[in-house]
Amino acid sequence: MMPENAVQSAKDTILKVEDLRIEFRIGRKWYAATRNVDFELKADETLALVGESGCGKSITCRAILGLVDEPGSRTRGSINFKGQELVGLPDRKFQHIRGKDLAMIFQEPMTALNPVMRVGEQISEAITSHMQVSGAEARRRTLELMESVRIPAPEQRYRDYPHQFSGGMRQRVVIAMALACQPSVLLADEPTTALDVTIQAQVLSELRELRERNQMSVIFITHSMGVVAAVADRVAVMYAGEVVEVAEVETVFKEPRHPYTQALLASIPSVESDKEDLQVIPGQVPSIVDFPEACRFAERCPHVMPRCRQEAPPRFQVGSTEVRCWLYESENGETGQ
Amino acid sequence: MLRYVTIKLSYAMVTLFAVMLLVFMLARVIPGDPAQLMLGDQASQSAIDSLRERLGLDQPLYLQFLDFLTGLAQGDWGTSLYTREPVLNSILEVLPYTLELTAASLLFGAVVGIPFGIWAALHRNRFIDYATRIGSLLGLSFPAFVSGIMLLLVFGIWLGWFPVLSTARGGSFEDRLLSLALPTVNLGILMAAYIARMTRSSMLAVLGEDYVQTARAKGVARHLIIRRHALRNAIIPVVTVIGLYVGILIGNSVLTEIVFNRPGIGKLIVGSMNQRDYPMLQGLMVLYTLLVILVNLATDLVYGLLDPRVKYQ
Repeated sequence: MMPENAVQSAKDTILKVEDLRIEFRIGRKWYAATRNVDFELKADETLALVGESGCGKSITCRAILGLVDEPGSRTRGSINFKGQELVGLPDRKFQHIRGKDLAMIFQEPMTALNPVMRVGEQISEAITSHMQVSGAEARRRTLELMESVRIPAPEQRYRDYPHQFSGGMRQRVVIAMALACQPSVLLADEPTTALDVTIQAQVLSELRELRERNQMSVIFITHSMGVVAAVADRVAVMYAGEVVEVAEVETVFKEPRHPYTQALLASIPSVESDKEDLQVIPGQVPSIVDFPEACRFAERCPHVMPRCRQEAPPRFQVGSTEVRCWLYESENGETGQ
Repeated sequence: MLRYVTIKLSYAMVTLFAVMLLVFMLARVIPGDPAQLMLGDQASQSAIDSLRERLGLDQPLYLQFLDFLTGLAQGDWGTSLYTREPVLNSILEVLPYTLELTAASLLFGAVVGIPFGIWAALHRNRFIDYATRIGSLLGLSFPAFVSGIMLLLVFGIWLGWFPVLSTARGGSFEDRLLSLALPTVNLGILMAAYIARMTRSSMLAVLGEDYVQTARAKGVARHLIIRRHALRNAIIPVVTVIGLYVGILIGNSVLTEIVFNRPGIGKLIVGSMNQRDYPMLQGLMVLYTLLVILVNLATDLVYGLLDPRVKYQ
C-alpha cells in the first residue's frame, strides 16, 4: 500500500489552470487574448506548451506569475497553485511566491538582464529577496549556483556585467537566477530559441538534468516540435489563445487528434521524405479583434462542419487525450466547458 | 577607464581647437577693419596703421591665429575697448556669480525634476502625471523675464521673504543665499521642467524593459525594482540631457541676471554688445566655449561611471 501511495502523491497536480481568460481593452471593448485555457501540471513532469507565435503561450505564462497587470488588461478564470488561487492575488503577496516557489526563464537572454548591474548581484538578489541570509552567505550560494549551471570561473565572472557574457552564458545566468530558491515550478519561455543550435542542445540537456536534480515541474513553452519531443512528458497545444489539445507526448506524435495539431505535425520538414515542398497550413491566424466566437480554427480547418462556425467546441476526452473539436462529439465523454 | 578618459579628453581638445578657429575667423570676417572700428570714423590713417601693426593685423592670418592662441593660453585675452581693462579680469570678476547661479539652478532642477519625473512615470495617466506634464509645459513656456517679475512681485514685494535687489558683492553668507534664492528658482524652473519630462519618458521606457520583468519574476520588492533596476538605467539619458542643457542654462542666465539685477556673464555680454566691445565679446565666446566643452567632458565621464558598457566600446 505505502509505495503505491507515494507514487500517487508524486503525481499530484501542482498547478491547475482552468478557463484562463486574459483580456485587453482596445478602445472601449474588451478582447480575449486567451480563453478556454485549461491544463494541469503534475509534480515532477515537464509540460510543453506548443503553438505558433502569438498564440498566447507567453502571456499565459506571464499570467501564471501574475505579471499581466498593465492598465487595460484583466485576468479571469482560475490558476490554482498548491491549493492557492493566484488569479486576483494582490501583487504584494504574489511577490513572495514569484522567484521562490514559481520561477521563470525568459526567451531573450540579451535583454533579460539589467545592463548596469553586476551579474553576481543579479543572481544573489533572487536569494536575498526571499531569504534572510548574510551578504557573504548569499555570495557563496550565488557562486554555487553559477557553478551548477556551468558558468566557468564563477569567482571572476561574479563581478562582470551582462555585456561581457555571450548569449549562452547569459541564458545560464537567467537559469541560475530562476533556480536560486529551488522553486517547485519552473516556467521556461522558449529558453533556447535565441541561442545557436549547438548551445541550444547543451542548454536543453542541462535544463533536463537540473530538473531531475531539483525535482521541479516545468512548463516549457516552445514552437518547435523537435524541442517538444526532446523535453516534454505531456503536451498542451495552443491555437489562437485556446488550448485545443492536451495529451501525453507519445500520443500527440502518434495520434494527434485536433486538426490543428495534425497540420502542425504535417508541417515539420522531414529528412526522409522526398517531398520538395514544405507543408503549410492554409490561411492565417485571425487577429485578436476578430477571433470568432465559435471554433477559432474553423476557417483553416480541412474537416470544417457547419456546427464549427456556430458554437465553440467543449473539451472531449478521447482515450487519454483532451481535445476541443466537434469531430469527437460522437465519441462522447465531454469533460467540461 | 583611463583609455576612455584619454579618448574623451583628446576629442575635447579637437573641439576646442575648431571652435577657437571659428571665433578667430569670425572676428576677421566682420565687415570693416577692426582698427578702424576701434578707433572710430574720425581716426587718421596713420593712427589706424599703427594700431593695425600693434594688433598684428599686418601679419599673415596663420601667424595671427597662432598669436591669438598663445595669447589665450597665457591669459592675454585682449583689452576691453570700453573699460580699457584686460578682458580676462573683467570676466573673472563676474564669472563666480554666474557659476553660482547656474550650479544652484542645476541642483534645483535635479532635486525637483527627477522625483517628479519618477512619480509621474509610476502613476502614468493619473492625476500626478497630468499635473507634472502640465507643470513642466508651463515651466518650459514661461519666458524668464515674465516668471522673474512674477517671482519678484509675489515673494519679494507682497510677501517680502526675499530681497528684491541682489545684495552687492560681499555681504554675509546668509544674505548671499537669500538673494540667490529667487534667481535660482527662476532659472531652475526651466531646468526642472526639462529634467522632469526626460526622467518621466526615460523611466517609462525602462519600466517596459525585459530586465524589469525579470526582476519582478525574481520576486524583488517593488521599491527595489524601481531603485536598483529602473532608476539606475533611466538616469543615464537624463544625465546626458542635463549636460547638454547646462550650456542653454548659462545662455539663459542673461535674462535672469538682468531681471534680478545680478552681476554676471549675461549682463557682461549684453553690455558689451551695446557698446560694440569686440575684444570683450570675443573673450566671452572663448569662455562660453570652454565652459560647454568642460561640461560635455564632465558629462561623458559621469556617463562612463554610470554605464559599464561605455568603457569598452
